[in-house]
Amino acid sequence: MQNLPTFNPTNYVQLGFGVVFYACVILATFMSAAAIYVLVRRGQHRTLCLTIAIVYGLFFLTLVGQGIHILSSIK
Amino acid sequence: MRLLFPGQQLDETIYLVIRKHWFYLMAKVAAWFLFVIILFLFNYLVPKYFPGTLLSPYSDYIALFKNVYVTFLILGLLIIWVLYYVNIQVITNERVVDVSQDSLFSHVVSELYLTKIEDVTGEIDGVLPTAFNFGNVYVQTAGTRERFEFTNVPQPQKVEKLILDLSEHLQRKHVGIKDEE
Repeated sequence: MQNLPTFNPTNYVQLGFGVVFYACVILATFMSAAAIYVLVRRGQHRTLCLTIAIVYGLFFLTLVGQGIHILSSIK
Repeated sequence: MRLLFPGQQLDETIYLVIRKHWFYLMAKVAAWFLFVIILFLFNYLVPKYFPGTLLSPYSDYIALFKNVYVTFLILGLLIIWVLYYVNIQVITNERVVDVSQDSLFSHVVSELYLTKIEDVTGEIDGVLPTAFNFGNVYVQTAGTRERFEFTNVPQPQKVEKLILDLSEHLQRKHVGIKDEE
């Protein structure tokens, strides 16, 4: 199977987990972007909205990075 | 502060910006918290009754599942708060505006000029609304839309009185102008 930079599945179970994980990440990224767009675009207080968007973005990226690390460590 | 709704005039005076009562938000957060409790129960019960899950590769798969679960948990919390924060009702010196974000992809802005208002009703119904002083405000018009509804707003009597006072003041002002003509 082709080696990807983030995980190297050696069997179909690992491949399936990787596909499902990335599908969830793509969905969560899309929904997060939509929520942040609505918040920043329609929020009453710009500073508060941007602060929450940045803090959430940091949390989100940390979790996704952790998930990718877990995925890459699966043997 | 930025403009609250499309069509807002710079010389328009904003009297009140209303969001749903905090109890409504807390109820949604409490429902969200149940899913957090499920995660903690999973962490406690699964290793206890299925000790094989502590071994690799099962532990890695479970860690991946928990990671995705937590990601969706914080996404859910963000969406709950965003939908609470951007749903507002605005009372100005000219009109009443209802900015309604029903979901992330559904945005509706309704306006009602104060001169078109015929009747306003404030309602508190139930034990919890009575205890925390929140309820509904219904604004009756003569137009095709029968009622403007503000649901779960704090102090509905004050909101009702404000709308009525502004509406009467504006209608008297218009009548005064017509008499002069």
